[in-house]
Amino acid sequence: MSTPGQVDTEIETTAAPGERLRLAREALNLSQQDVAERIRIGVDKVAALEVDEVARVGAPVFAAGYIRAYARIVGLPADELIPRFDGLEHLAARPATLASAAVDGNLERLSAGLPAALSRGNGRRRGATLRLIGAGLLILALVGALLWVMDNGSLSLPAAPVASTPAKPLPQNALPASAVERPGDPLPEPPRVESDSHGPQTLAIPAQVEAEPASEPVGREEDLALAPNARAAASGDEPADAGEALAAEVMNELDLYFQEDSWVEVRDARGERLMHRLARAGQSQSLRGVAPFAVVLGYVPGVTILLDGEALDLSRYQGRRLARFSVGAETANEN
Amino acid sequence: MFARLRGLFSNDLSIDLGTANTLIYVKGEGIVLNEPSVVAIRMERGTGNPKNIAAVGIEAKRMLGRTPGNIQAIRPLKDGVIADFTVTEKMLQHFIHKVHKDKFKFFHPSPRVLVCVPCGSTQVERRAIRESAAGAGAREVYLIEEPMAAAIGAGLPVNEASGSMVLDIGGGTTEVAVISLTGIVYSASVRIGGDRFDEAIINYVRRNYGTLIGESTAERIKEEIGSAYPGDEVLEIEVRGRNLAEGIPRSFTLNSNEILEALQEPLSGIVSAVKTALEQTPPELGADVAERGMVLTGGGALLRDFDRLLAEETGLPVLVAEDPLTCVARGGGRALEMIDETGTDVFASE
Repeated sequence: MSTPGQVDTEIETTAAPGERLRLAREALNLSQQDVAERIRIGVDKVAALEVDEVARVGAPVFAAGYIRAYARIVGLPADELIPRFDGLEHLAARPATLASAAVDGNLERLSAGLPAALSRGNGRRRGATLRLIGAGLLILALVGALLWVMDNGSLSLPAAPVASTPAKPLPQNALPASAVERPGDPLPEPPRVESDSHGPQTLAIPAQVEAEPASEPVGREEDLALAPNARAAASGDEPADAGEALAAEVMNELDLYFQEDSWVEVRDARGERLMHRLARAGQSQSLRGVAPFAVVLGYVPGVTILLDGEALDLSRYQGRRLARFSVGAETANEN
Repeated sequence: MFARLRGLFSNDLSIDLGTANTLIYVKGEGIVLNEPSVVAIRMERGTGNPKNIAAVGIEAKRMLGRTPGNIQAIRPLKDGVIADFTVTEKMLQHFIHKVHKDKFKFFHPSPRVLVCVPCGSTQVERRAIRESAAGAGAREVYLIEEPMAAAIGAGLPVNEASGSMVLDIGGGTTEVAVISLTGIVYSASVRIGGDRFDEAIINYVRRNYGTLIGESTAERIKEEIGSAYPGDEVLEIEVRGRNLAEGIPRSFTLNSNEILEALQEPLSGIVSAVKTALEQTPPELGADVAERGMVLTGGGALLRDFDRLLAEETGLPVLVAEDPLTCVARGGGRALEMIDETGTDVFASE
């Protein structure tokens, strides 16, 4: 009978760990039954281990435990053997790092007087630096977002009041294109529609829109019917000013007058959003786009709508506050 | 809300608040702290004797039994439960800060914390642990029973409908449990652990050598030559202690057979707890345990040949888990990760 040491050197070259166990067992003149009895498991499990079929033995914790016991009986190094089995590779690193740190570490650390055994000190420090950088970027992003929100908020908040107040008598030509395109402009919607299509018109339209509220409050208060006419006249001049015959043919004009606060959303046939905001009582808005218009009104009783100077009958929405409908050539009969 | 913000800068922790050692496992980082549960308290001279913490952990352990009058090195946990509430809270606070030390200094850490409790602990004891973790700055506190955490950490198939038996031998308590379908079918806790082994060694040495040794020495003896089953070789160790008759420190030699004899009483306590557990286990689960064996975790599992003793006594396969000392903390960490997958099934109610 050979000693465990000799057995080890003899079979060291064999690759399969189960085979190593088997050879070591045979070298000691032990049968599978003997080993099974000493570990107190079934012979089938011992046989399975010898052909490297760890899965048949059970969960990895059991397989590793049996291998450890088997290796002890036949005098093989278990720590070296276990990771070589398929499915037990993950058990390789653990005894080397954590267990030794935990078991031997206590005494070593006590004598060395080191602070806590943070075996992964370097990794953790690197992680911390990365985190610090990450947090810095996050804070920058947050500050940026906050500034952006404040920026937009401060510009869009006055938007409504400016539109509602009777416009300052702006010189019509003094409204430059740059002012129209400025983000958060008091009346962003109508200008944008036009600016998309034609340069010269962008100048004309805002001027008209801006000018309108100036005349509007007076007219609206006294006679609603009068206002449309005035508006029609104004709009009649407008295409001539623009000198765009084509646009005049295609474009329809939608005028909205608000006696009460109401949410308004208007899209034209091209899907372009012409208006999308809360309109205050006393305001008015003139929109140009391709009919039919899809209109959403938050408070129908407080709104009067004119399509190309013709008042629309909104009486069928009378009992309601919210209304969605479309306005324009094809759907004229619907109204 | 502010706590949640600070939570972003804190890691989820699993704490094995043991009588002997406290281990902290951080999700994704592994065991980051493994220190003795010892706190040294300095009494300031002057009015009212204000107390402050002189040292915690390893430093404090080195002071154990070596302190002058105004410093007291104490172990705030006894038998797996809190014996000194405020000191435990301070110790936890210290450890949680230590784990977060090289992170964000301008935030007080406010992690989600899972703490392991002995299964035999009472409601009051569990509440004390929960409160002290909360007092140490935890945003949320979960409790898990130690054997459950140990089983998860050891890699036992706790989700399956088959019995898994785990024996967790800690510093203050030994927990034995049979687990099936993420639930504890049977559990028992005996207040015998590594500390009782040390005490037994101290008593043996005093009785047979008329010499007094300290706790640290006893622990060193246990680690170096202690065994639970007669082995082939006899190990020896030289120790120093105060001779009771002469009052003078003397040096003498102990061997492993003597220590085996000294440890008989606590060992038989644990063996009988295991036997009782096997008696009480429902037959189907008992059959599973008999087929696959029981798994040892905790520092006590490192006592030489403990698995062999249990195998001889019970006739069952007995396996020592990989890295038994950290099983509970790792299992707790795994349970924290499982919150999102399976909910809070595995946690203990208060």
